[in-house]
Amino acid sequence: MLAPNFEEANAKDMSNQPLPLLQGTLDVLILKTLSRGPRHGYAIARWLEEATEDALQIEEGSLYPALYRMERRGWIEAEWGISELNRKAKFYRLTPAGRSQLDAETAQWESFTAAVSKVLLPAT
Amino acid sequence: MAHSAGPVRRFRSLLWKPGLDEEIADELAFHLEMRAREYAARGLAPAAATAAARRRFGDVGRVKAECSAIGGGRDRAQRRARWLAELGRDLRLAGRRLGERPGPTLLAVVALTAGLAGAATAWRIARAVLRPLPFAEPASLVRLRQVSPAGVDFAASVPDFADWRRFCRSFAGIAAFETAEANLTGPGTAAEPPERVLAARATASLLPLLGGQPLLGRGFAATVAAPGGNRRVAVLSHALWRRRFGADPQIVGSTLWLDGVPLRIAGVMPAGFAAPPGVGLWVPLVRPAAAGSARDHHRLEVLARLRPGVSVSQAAADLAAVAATAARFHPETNQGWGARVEALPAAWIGPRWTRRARLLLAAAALLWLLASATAANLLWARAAARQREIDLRAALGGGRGRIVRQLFAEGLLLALLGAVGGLLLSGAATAALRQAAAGVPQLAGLAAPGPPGLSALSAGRPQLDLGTAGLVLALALLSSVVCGLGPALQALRPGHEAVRQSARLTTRREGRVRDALVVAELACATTLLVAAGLLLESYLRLDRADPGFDADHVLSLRLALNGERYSPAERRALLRRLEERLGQLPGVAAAGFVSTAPLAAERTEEPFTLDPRPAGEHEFREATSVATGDGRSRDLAAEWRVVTPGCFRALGLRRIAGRLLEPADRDVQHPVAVVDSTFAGRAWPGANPLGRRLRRPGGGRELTVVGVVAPVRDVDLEAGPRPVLFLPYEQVPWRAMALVVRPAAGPPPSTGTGTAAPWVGAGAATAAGRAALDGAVRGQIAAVDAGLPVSAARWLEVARRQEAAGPRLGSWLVALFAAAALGLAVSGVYATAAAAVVQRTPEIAVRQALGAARGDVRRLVLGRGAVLTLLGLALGSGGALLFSRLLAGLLYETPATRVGTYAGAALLLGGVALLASAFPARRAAGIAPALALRRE
Repeated sequence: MLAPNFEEANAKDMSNQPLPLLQGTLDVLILKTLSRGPRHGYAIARWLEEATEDALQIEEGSLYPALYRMERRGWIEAEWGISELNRKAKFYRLTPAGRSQLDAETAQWESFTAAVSKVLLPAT
Repeated sequence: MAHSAGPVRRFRSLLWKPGLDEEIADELAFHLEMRAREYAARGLAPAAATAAARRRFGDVGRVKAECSAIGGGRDRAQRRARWLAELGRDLRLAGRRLGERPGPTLLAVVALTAGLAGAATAWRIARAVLRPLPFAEPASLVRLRQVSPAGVDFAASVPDFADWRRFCRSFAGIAAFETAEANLTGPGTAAEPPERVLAARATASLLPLLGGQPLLGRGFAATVAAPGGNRRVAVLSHALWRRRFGADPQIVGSTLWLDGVPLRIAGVMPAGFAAPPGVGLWVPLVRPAAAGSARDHHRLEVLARLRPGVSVSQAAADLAAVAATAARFHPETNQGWGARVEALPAAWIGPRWTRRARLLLAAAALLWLLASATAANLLWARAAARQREIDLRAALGGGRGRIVRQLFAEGLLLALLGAVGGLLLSGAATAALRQAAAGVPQLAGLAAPGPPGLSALSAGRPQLDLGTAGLVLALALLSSVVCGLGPALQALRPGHEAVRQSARLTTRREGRVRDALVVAELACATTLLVAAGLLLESYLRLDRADPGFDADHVLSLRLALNGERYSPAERRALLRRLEERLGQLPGVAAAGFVSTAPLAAERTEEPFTLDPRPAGEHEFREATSVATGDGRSRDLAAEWRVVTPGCFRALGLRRIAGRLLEPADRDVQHPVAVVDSTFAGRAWPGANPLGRRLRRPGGGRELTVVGVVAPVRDVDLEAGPRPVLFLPYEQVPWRAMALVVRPAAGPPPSTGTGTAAPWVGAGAATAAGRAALDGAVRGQIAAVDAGLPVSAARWLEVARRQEAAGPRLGSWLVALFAAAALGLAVSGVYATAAAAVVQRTPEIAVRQALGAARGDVRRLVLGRGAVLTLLGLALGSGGALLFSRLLAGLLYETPATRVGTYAGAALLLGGVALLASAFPARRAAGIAPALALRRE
């Protein structure tokens, strides 16, 4: 889940405390989500919760500004459609520019983690 | 753009576009609702589920505001993209429509090209002329001059400058300088080849006053001001530092020699800092000896900076009070003398160039108006041709907006094409402009390279700068808006009315507008033609004007015989020998020396006392009013020249009365002078000038007039004649002299004779002949004194051409504008007449069917053209009367209201315009009634 939900609100177990999100990581996570096909904001939120198994502390409210920002940059585009429950919803879809952005950030992430791992977890 | 939405989507978004905030609210509400459902599905009560969803989401209001801010930018970007795409479509469509009728389109594009090229060119010249002076806050700088009782400006004397500096409260700073050519030697030993440079002897305050910060070292202010400080210092100009000293950064502290005096280099000024123009170096103005500091020795140029809040007129009043005090204490020198304060920028540029720049801008504006009218005419015709379509569409409920946009797009496309053409044309004219501007200091900005990046890009190619391009684009856009406005308003009229009216009414209204546009075009063209006629006539008169000397093929070189090396006696002997040797050079008609070379822009005006009374009476001039005439000696401001006898023949000065100066005029006890007839006429109107006496401003012995020559104008041809006076060198051994050499006339000697004088006759006009004469003369000078520095050669006919560069440039440019205006206006007349014939074909056919003769039809069309032409000519002549105010001060011996010029312009334009409507008239007369009616 994105943040401690009401069921876990009283949990004191420090090991279960979610990690703060690295700056700019939310964007690439959203792009990755959308690479599987168009979705509305709530679906993106749910998918992120499930995929990360609530390990990341994502503030739900910050999801939408991020979507608008990415739409302005041309990485994603939006369209109103009908949701699975037959309700009007705004669907986001990856643009070609968004796809190459995702590729670039993924590659960057890989080299970054590889470099940091080399230092932090030297093969003994 | 990344928003490459498909056509379907774009269409839908046009159909249904929720407001941004509505969209965000919907989206967030959906999210909250879905989350609440999720919680409800897990077993929470609906109210608790909704509350939990909200808690989970965070501050909904803040998120909404954030999304709204970001989404606003997104929407703006999308709108911009859509707008640009539509503009592109409109322009492409406009291009197709304009291409359907290439003739009128070409005319409009040519018109706008001419108009915008004219504007760009005039703007570039005006900017070069009116560019700010290279000094700090030039607007508060003023020039101070003394004014003689006769109202003539003079440089200031040393004591008067000291008074001004001490007593005037209007100035934040004041400085003085005088310029002189000097021999520069060094650095290093004094033995290197000498060079003539323009040196300014300036007060220490000059450079700080103008805001000049030395590039290297310091100015001499600090050095000179310190007690016991070194006054033998010099500050180099940037140009001299680079040319002579190889831009050596270590130059400060080394020594150069100026007229043999060693000076320590105290600093280097930055590039572009030139006060006065062309100065090579500055040296401290040291308090001169008694003779140089008399109150009637006018030698200092004085500049000052107004205190904040002080106006030029307040400063002038302040200065006048100081001058009046000086006149009270020193009546013998300052009686009647005043002072003038003038803004430095205007004084620096000179009134003529300021006026010429304004004139060119105004003429270009007229041409631009005319070009816009031509384009508007075309758009009106197109709007009229589509009026039925517009009205029908409107009646059927179609949008007028698109049609209006179309019309504007056509105007915009025309204007953009014109802007590109205008910029290219003006850029292509750069080389010609630079050539015309060569040697004109006011136009130095034209020759200056642009920003480094740009000039490197376009080296050797036409140069255009961003300022000019911006101006041209702005004018083009203005044209397109103004041109498109009328037709657009016409198209926007309520539709049902227009459809009910027959096409005839609409056509008539449209015809009236087009007629008015043609009249406006003709009026602009008339005004420009009159102005061009006046300027050309003035220029031709100036070109033919008799300056009193003959500049053809005369070589002029300056040399300086400075006091360190030559005593007065040695100077006399040296010049005598040189004049003799040069006079005997084969193929040389005459050679002589003169203190101020003709057309070198050097003023030497000084007040001469006419018919002075004996010296003893001098002190009582004020008290007693007996003696000659009105009891007062009069002063006459005159240019003076010290000459050797050969100078009269070398310059071709013409004797009118008495005798010229001769080698025998050596007796310093009985000095003599020759005056020109302007001097004689002003000094002694109607009386015989021979034998009259006068005194030079510094005092000394009285001169006796022994001869009169024809009026000489060797300083400023455009100004009226000024009195000139010639003094013999033997009696006044001046230091800086210019040599003038006239090659012999007649055919060059055949090569067989063996005399090597290729400069004789026509040879003097060739580069080879000139170089040969220059070399031969230098050889003679070196043979007499190898150490005598000689300046670069000047050819007086070249100097005379440069002197007329301003009038030539101004008159030819305005003439070009006028020629373009004539062509455009006449094309406009033709186009409207032809269009009218096409529109009235049915009417003409009916007339002919009812028995009208061909002549009647021809007269119908011609008559309409004649009425328009006459209206245009009348309006244009009125406009020319107003416009000719701009010509004031630019016309040489040509009255601005010369009837002949007006009549000539009217005849030319009227004749060509009638001819232009004669072709459509003939076509109208040739209409076959049956055919035309059947087609209708």
